[in-house]
Amino acid sequence: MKLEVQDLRKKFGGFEALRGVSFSIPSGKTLALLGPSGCGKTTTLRVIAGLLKPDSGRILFDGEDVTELPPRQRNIGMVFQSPALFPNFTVRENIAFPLEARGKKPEEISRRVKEVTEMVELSGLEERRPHELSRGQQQRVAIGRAIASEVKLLLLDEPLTALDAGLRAEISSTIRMIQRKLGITTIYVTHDQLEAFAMGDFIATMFDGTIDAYADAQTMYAKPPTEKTARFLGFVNRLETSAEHLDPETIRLVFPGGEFKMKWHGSKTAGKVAVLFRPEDASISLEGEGLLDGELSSSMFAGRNTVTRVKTSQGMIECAGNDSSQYQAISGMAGRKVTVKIDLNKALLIETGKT
Amino acid sequence: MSLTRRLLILTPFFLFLFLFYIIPLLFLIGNVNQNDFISVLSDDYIHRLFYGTLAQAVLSTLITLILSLPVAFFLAKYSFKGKRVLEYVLLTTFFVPGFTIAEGLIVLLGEKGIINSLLSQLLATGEPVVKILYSIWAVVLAHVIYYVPLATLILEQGFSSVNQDLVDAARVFSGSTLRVFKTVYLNFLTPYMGAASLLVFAFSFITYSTPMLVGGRFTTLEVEIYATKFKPVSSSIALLQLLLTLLVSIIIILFREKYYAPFSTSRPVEEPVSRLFSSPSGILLAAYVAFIYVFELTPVAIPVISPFLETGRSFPGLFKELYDFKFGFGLSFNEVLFQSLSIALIVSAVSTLLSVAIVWSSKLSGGILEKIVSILMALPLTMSRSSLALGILLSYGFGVTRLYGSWILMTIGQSAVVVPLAARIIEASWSRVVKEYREAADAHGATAFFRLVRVEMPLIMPAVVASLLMAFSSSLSDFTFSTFFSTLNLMTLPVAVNLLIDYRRLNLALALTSLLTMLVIIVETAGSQFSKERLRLI
Ligand SMILES: Nc1ncnc2c1ncn2[C@@H]1O[C@H](COP(=O)(O)OP(=O)(O)O)[C@@H](O)[C@H]1O
Ligand SMILES: [Mg+2]
Repeated sequence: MKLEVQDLRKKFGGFEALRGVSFSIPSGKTLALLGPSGCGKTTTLRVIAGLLKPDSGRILFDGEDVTELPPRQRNIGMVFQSPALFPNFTVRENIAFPLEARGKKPEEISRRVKEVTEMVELSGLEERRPHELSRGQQQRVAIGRAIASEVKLLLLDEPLTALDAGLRAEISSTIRMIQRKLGITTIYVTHDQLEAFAMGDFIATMFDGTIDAYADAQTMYAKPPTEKTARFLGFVNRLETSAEHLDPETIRLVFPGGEFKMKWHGSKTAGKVAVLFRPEDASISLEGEGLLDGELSSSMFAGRNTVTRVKTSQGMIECAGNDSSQYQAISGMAGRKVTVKIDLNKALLIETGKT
Repeated sequence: MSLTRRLLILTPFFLFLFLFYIIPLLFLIGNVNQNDFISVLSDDYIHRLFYGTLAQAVLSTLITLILSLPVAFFLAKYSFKGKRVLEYVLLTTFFVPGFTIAEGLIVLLGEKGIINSLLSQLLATGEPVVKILYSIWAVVLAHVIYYVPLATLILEQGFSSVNQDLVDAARVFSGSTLRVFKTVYLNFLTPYMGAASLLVFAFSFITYSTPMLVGGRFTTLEVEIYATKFKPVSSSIALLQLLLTLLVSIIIILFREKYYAPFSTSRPVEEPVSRLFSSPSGILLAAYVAFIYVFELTPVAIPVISPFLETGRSFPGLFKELYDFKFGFGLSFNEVLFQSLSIALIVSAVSTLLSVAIVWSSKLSGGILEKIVSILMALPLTMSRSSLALGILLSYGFGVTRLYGSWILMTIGQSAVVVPLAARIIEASWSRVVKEYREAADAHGATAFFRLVRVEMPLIMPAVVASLLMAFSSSLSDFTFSTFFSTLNLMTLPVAVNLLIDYRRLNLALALTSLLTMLVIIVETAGSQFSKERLRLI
């Protein structure tokens, strides 16, 4: 089912939680809705589920307007931030709930419950109650309940947030398996970018009640469409420089430590650009060759790599490109002049104005 | 949902409001003669009653609060094994019927009562020494005994809400104990002291059985309405009392909305009780708490055990005599018992059913309507019961329905005051059914009714049981509606107690009270296992 969400707005008292949220998801695809806590992700899901009335805007399922329909007529499955399992029900009864609520026949219910229980790997635990299950098992029940009835849309609200690292991997692989098997259109809400990239065919970033950027996962990772999204996705370093065209498709960036040529599809005239790059794509050079000079202000051992902060004429630059074997050498250099190497092929160029 | 639809959903609530309050009060107002009302307002006797009622309520409130504070502090501050039990034991005094305590005072303070016998022997005077029974002082004393547990519970919450970090900070920065108390404790305690004072005042203001049984010539507006119930002037007094008590109720509600955040969940840092015994002031506090327990429990224990201690007669003989007693137009004890228990069962079922329907519908309609329902449901708690009883008598007692003398009238009256209490128990439990369960049910295709039956009802079942038990015990303890609506053919157990006291058969009255009180304590104790909301009166 194709989902379209058009210009949703919702106020709580004077506070605008949603200020015009729009996106669409092609049938059978998963959208990861990524944003910091409090930006309106849960509110968006609750509006789509029909648990909350929007002040304005529309929700379309395969082109059909469902904005006014009560939740039960929307045929959705939902996994909440907390598992929200009915405490007085067994695993079986929890999973059967959507089927019973929709008045399915007993034989059909027991057949489907069996299928789903196997799918979420809970066979043998059918008669347990939620408090007799581990957190991971509880989340499996919640997932089972969400997909028990043949739903058209699956809404997952931070399903891994409350779990510890080991369980996260386990449950996320269950979710991916279910999606491959059932091909339900899905919204996966998270504040964690790694989860978003792992789960989403598409990714939408959300800040302060609006969608900031929307793209397929690869594009979103490599070339985030907006500067705000880029920063949220880890492009925390920013340099300003000027670019001049060598030919319509190639530009030259000029840095104190040298020049750099790269492909460019922006405007035809040369001008000022901002270069955004991730710490992983920058390292300090011990040999003195790099694009930018600065003074090493701090260094930190971070396990796989060494994270350093370099004070440059353009502000502080964070580098994580040196591996941890270099920590000893680097830590002795605090306060010394260093140069920064940047992998500009992985950087993001944004025009900021003309010269 | 449209407004009309939301209002329609509230039908159970409107039905309740209309049948149990609006119609009776309209009849009451309709029965008021304007000249009567004006003369009541300027009548010296009514003025004296008003000031007497007021003075009695103010005294009861002040003394109750002062006596409760140290106990509340003790219970909030110190931890020991069996603390929950000790707290609960104190509350039995509040659960038992008001007339149990009144009878306890009669046995203790009467001219030939326990205390006077002891004192006159000790002082070798032939005269009774303590002569406060049958006066305003006995009424105040009974109220203090009755409401200390309630005030203690509320104030204990207040002391528990005091943030220990703030106390420590105040101690580090100022040092003086008085300063610490002023800056921290007073700040946290004020809303709770306000809540406790308002409630004790309001309850004392509408007191009924106590002045009737131990007030002697001292009487209150509430009793006067009963005494004049078949005279035209009664409606005018009732209207006056109704307006006064509504004013108090509105003040309580405004207070609740503005200042009172009940029952904070933060548990303070408790100290082991052994620490108390290392300082003289600590030992004093412990001794004081022990004294209050004796003070509170003696008037309950005496009526309960005295029939078993009766000298010169075995207690089966006493109960046999009670069993053979003929009440009113020759009603046997069995008949009174049957009438009383049937009414209690019906009130219990009707009130609980109505409460569930009201809470469910108010939650469904939501928003401002839910708020309005909750405020209107809070009004009856401290409203004049005699006025309501008179209104019910006027509207349903005669005329078309002619229910005077029927058990239905008693059921209506008792349910009218029990439903708001039951609704609180249900509502509190309902609110704790977390929103997520409801949303999960909705999101997965449940209708409102399916959700009620499959998800909400099972989760609030303990509260439903608690409500059934509470309503049952309230009906058994009810004195106001029972005395108002009883006839020589229709009687409940409290009316029988009253009758026996009137006939000067105190030993039989005590035997009956003993049985009734034990039953109430058992039912309330069972109820408290299912819900902790019984005492959440504000
Ligand atoms: N029922 C509500 N009443 C008032 N404010 C709300 C309500 N629900 C959410 N909000 C506010 O709306 C904002 C977005 O909330 P939410 O959608 O839960 O964010 P997220 O799921 O992205 O963390 C938050 O600032 C939150 O405080
Ligand atoms: Mg959220």
